[in-house]
Amino acid sequence: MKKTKLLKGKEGLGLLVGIIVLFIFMSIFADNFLSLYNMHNLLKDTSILLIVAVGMTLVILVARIDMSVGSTMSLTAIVTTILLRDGTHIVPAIIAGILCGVLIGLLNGYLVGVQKLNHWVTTFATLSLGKGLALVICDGQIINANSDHLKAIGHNSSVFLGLHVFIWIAAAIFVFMLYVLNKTKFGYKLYSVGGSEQTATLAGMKTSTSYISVYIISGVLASIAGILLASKANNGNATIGDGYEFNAIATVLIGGTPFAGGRGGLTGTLLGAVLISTLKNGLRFIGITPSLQFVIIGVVILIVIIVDVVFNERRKLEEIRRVEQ
Amino acid sequence: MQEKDYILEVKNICKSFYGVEVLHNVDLGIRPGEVHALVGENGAGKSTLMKIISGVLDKDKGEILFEGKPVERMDVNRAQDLGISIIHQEFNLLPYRTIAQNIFLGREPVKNKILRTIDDDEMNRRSKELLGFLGMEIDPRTRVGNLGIAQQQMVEVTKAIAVDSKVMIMDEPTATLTKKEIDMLFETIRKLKSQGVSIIYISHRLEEIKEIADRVSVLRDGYLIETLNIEDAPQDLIIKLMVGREITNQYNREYFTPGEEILRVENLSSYRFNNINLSVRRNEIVGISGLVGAGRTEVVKSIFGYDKFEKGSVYLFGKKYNRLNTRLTTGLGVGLIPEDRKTEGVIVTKPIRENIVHASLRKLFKRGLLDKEVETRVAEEYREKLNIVTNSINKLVQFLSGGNQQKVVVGKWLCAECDLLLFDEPTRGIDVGAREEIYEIMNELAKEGKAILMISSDMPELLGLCDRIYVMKDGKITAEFQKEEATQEKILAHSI
Repeated sequence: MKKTKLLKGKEGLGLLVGIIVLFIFMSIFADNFLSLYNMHNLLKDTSILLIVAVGMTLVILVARIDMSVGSTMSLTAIVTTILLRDGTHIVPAIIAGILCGVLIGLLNGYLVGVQKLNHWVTTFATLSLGKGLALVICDGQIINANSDHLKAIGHNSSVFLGLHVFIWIAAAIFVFMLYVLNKTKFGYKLYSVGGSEQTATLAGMKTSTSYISVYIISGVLASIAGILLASKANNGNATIGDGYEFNAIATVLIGGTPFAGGRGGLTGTLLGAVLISTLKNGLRFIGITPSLQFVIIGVVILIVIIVDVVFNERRKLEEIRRVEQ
Repeated sequence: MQEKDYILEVKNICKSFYGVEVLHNVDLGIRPGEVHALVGENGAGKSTLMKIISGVLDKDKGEILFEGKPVERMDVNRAQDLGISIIHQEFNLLPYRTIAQNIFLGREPVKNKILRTIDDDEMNRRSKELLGFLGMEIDPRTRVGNLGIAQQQMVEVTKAIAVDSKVMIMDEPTATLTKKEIDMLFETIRKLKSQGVSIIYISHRLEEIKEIADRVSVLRDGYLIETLNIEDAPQDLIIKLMVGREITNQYNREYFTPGEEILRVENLSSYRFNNINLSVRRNEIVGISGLVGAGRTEVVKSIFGYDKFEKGSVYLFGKKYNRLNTRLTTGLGVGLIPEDRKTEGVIVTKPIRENIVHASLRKLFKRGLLDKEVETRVAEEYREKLNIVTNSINKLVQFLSGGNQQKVVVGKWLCAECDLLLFDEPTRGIDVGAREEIYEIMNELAKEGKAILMISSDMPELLGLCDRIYVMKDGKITAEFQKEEATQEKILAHSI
């Protein structure tokens, strides 16, 4: 019993050690990596990824997946920037953008949670749907929002108490969801449904509502991330969120929430997001091309997953041995 | 005893699955504070009855009364509200959550009504209390996955106590426990009894029943045969009540002089079975009897090379092997007709023709290219030989009846020229008419000189078909009978 506990501790620790090693490595090989300016940049880069990954964590926690977040980001960015360009006030424009996330999430949740369609296929379809809609609406053009309000969110000088607004937003979302997941009935239910749908059902829970809510949350968070992304350049285009679904999934997996669901959580996702951002940021500093960055990040994900499998195998073997005795 | 004295009573319960009635007018009454044992062979209907009582399954006919009042619609939530809980053989626990979180699963105490935040302290405190009542000194914040099996079971019991259960159903609670842990469980059961909790105790272990139960009910083929006070129910009487199905003459087995030995197993051991010795010869049908969980399937799957064994050896066609894999065994001419037909026997999304040639691709298509003509010829051959009822060999296997699916599996192995066929529950889920056809096929195969090793929970089937029968219990072979000496009573006595 003690042994497994130690192992468990090591797992989270491994990620932290990884980040520290990476930091030391980068600060030796890349001048200015540890500068205040770059650290702030790094946190800012982490923010958007973290927001999407928080939503993805909830979905993966119930043993599902959401491939549609990237295109939700794009669609939201397009809808919001078009409305702003046409003179809509910032508040309804943002609400309309977030509504995109709600609707896509609702559709995902209904199809997966109520109709019991396969979650991969369903969210792949909504990925295409969202991206297609975004392309149709903007006609393939970059939409210039021309909005001072939107610009005010994303501009480099939008700093509050020394930290960029993005960081504050990400932190607020993270802390709130951490609280919801660990302290509320809703969060408990997600762990139960992900741990064993059957057990949860036998305990009298309605599982479909869990699926619907995680997809809506994931959609809304993707929308928020999409708006932030658009505010950075004060414009939107239909490919702005491309690839974010994979980065988010990688973040969650690295953070120790497995596809099987039922365990893991947001703390790991935070560490995962920091690790990925640090890698990207640092590799750029050292002068490694974006193409090679992909390769390196792929290798890191593989290592983390292999380590996880090895640990799980060992746990299973211990289980069997226990039955034998 | 008056009806109103029962805390839980079922009357005239009937239940059918796919037109086969598995419970016939079952009456059962449970008194407050009694331990009521429920016994019966595999498939006697115990689990189905318990699932109906606990609201997992709906009854077709009959009545459920709780504390004398009829319960209109029984479902999982209703049963919980009434105080009926079930502790399944497979635990329903979440391994990555703590003991307290499991105990209060779905009913977590709430601190803040609006945000619905969980009161962890309250939950842990109350869990500690409940665990203390059962004499368990353990931190309720421990993860369930880190507990031993017996402790996990105690968590299940605690879960049931936490909802103020008045009737607790325990399905084979001692199956995976050691002697010491069983004593601990019995201690708990006695404590629950003294609190007025009734327990329905399902078990195959008659010695245990003697020790813990007040009354015992025997189910057989979906009929409740009798309910007896434990003093009036010696072990041999219970066994006599459990068996006694008619052996009809639907088998038409012809017996032949056995030929050469094709399979011999020597001292085979793994973590699921121990020191297994058996042999099968040509023209022979050899049976393995025993209860579910005795390790029968594991032995057969090890012989097939599907599961690993740790010690011992398997002789196939006279050659000794200390390690097997399915590529090797199928190449030698061994075929497995598995119990879980739909996932292990056939590929349901493929047509009959492709399923038939599935194990013989190398033999039929030497150049590695598929040949539709050969495939058609072979598939038609076995369709005729085994009388697979279908309008076309292009029909997907998922649209066939269970019996015809089983024939496809047999056809697959015959096509691969198998001489040793391992049948795991050959007629499970197959209707009566098709059963006879399967028996006929097996008889025919024995006549042709094939060797058959079959597992069955259907005792008349074993007695009607087999030359010899091995009996397994707890991973060991406890007896071997020739067809002349085998009786249902003898076999059952060695299985439990």
